[in-house]
Amino acid sequence: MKMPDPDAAVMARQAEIAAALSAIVPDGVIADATGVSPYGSDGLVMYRQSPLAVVLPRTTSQVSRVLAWCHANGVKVVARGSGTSLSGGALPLADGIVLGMARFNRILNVDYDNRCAVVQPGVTNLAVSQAIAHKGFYYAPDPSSQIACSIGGNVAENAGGVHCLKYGTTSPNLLGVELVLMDGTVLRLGGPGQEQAGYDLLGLVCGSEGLLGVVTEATVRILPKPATQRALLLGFPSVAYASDCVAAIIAAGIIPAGLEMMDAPAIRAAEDFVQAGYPTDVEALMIAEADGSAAEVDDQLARITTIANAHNCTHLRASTDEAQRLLFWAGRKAAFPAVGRIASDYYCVDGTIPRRQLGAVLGQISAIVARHGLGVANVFHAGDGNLHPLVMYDASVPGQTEAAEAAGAEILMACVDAGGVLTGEHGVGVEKRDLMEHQFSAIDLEVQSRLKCAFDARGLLNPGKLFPTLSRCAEMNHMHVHGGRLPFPELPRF
Amino acid sequence: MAYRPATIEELAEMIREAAAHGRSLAVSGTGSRPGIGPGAADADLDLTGLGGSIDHDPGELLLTLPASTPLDHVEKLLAQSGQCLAFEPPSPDAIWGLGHGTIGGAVASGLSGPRRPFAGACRDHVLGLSGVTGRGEIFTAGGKVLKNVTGFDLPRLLTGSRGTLAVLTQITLKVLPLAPAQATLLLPADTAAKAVRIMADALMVDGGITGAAWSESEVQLRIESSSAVLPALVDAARARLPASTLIEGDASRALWAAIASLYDHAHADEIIWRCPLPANRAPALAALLPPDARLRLDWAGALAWVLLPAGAADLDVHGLVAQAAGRDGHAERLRGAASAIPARAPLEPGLAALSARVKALFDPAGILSPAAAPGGAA
Repeated sequence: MKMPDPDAAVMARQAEIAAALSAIVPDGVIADATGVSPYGSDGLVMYRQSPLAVVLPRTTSQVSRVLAWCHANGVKVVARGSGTSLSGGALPLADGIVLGMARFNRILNVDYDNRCAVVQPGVTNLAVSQAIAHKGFYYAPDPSSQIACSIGGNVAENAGGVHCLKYGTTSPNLLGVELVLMDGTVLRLGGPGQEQAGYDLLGLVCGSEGLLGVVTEATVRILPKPATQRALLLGFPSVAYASDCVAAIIAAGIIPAGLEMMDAPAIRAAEDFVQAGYPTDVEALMIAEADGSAAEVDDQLARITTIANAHNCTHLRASTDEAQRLLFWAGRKAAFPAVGRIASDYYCVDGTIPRRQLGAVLGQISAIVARHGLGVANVFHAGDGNLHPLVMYDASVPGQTEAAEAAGAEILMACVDAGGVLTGEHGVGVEKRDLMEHQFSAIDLEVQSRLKCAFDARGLLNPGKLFPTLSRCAEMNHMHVHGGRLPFPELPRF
Repeated sequence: MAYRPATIEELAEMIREAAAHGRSLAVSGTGSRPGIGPGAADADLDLTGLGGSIDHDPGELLLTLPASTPLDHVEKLLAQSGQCLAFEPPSPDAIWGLGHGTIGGAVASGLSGPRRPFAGACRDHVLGLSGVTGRGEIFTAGGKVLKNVTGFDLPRLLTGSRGTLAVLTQITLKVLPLAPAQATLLLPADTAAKAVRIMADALMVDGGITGAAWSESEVQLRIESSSAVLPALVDAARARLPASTLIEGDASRALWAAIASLYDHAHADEIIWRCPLPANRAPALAALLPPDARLRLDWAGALAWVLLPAGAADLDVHGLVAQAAGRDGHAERLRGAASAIPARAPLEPGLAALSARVKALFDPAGILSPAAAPGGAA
């Protein structure tokens, strides 16, 4: 993956940059090689790059002054929450600083009457739910990394989780942010109300992968916890039966709180790892969770049971208590480390397809990994068509890392070709950047990417992520497109 | 002067030509939302000639359709499969009396109905769209799947952008099952303060509530579920809330249709202000209103409708909302003759500048519905 060419002149100023930023954040600049090393990569461990320096501000004012200084001095900035991005969103740049937001770790206000909480971006996802649990409330988005991932990172990536079908990804659960632009301007978008005036800039910023601004505060929607949650474990003799069952559940007007699926290799790996009681003689396993009042949950599970029985379900168990429900989930939630036990390395792919294409795309995934001489285990957020093939490889064998990456790219292109998209919840980052042209036309990408000019005209915030090229903002006030011709055919590619 | 393109290529050509000549365009569907419509421009851009096929896939929860599709047609189509637009787009007919408009108009206006706090806003249900920018570029954004974070979220940005950034031609929506059964609890509440308290208490518990509104003397709480489960949810809600009367089935549906379209009974000559604000600031707004103003609350108090007699055109509702809710609330006049009070208040300067830059990137010549851009005419 080619990153933007580092600016040697900026790199030569490393000591001066560190000194200037230390004057703004006196106890929060790391500039020595050993100190910056832990910030060299995020959850996409294939990529590593040390930044010029790491800056750890505590206040919005410091963030504003750091960005304004970097803006004036042409220094690139990569914001980082907990560094759990699976797409390389927080990968540093050789000629840039990392702006670590971990010290923004306070929950500022919880307003139960308006059902929202104001939190700093370094607060972890799970900490929000834990802080409001005593009042019977929780924060709905629950990415697998929720014990570690930060709310700021969740906003940057529009993070999802296993309950998105019913409760949505981060964006529908985000009411407002305080945002600092690259030039240091501090803005408020949205707030404790349900609607902002003017353009939906909050919606644009959520999921913008750190390219538009730095979030220094977030107002999130909180919900009363459902009175009851119960899960069904359903086994099927083929993935096709299981996916027909998913379609039939949805077509019956049921929106389960969770609807997850695993294929045989994933089932066996998970069962070996956590002994969740999964049947190992089935080809597909589904976890269907219902939540709400006891009456609602009983009704929904009864209807799902009827549908499953009509779709060749060979194994069916309903959780009888909370411990068993959590055990059902334990296998699914541990699927990634479980695969990590049977393969020395695995590469988690993230694409979304129209659900009806599941069987066909799974066949393609098998063929693709076989062609590269690798193995795969599949877990899916079946309700919304979000696939996570885990491509297994051995990084110590020459060529296998590249083979895994190539297989991942082919899988994502197959998702797009099936009418789907490159990423359902992990983001584009550096990982899928060069695949964007497979999903979008040059004009589509231009219409999106030039929005960066409104927020960061010098292209200093997280460049090299998300888009294969960035527009030259100075030329943006003129009309450039004629007859579908590329506006900037001569633009350098990263 | 009016343009009426028959194809998206023709539309793009017309926009390029208008941009080249600096001729502004009033972008509209059937013109059913004049109060929040494009305003004055050099020429009208009538989009009703842009047809296309409708693809509804109930099992995938997806609906893709031309922006020009009539809104009432969409709702009938979905109802046939037991589905709905969960954000309950308010029909413009009750406010302006010019028909139900198009789905393109519903998305471009971005208004959401009573289910907004529970099922999400209009912007949360727009998964993908195609259109033409003010530069005449034909583009597609988002996708035709339920879960997608690929690229900048243009569907959200363009929802509610009032035709000032791009002209929408095709829209993909998330559609959801229509709950088969519903009932509404009516609870006495003679002040906004009491009403907001009751609604907040009701929502402290997860109990199937999908609507919480107030008018004059009573709070209305809608509960939706399957017919098998509804009685238990209703009993549980009644057990923990103050005494209430109950309406069910079609009577409940009719009530919420009326609430969604602003109670149907806004008097013909009343001025209508729509004011989103934090729910617990609604009582402060109520206290600031003159005696001849009428107040309706939706979204558990987070949406205030202020209805004024025609003679109160000079009441500065922006100022009252700012006094009640600071920068967390805002107001827009949807209906009422022009007065010294603008329909929308200016945005805070930093936000206004950013919004103007966003507008200029989509529409550098400033030709798309310029009077409707945030902050008004450029």
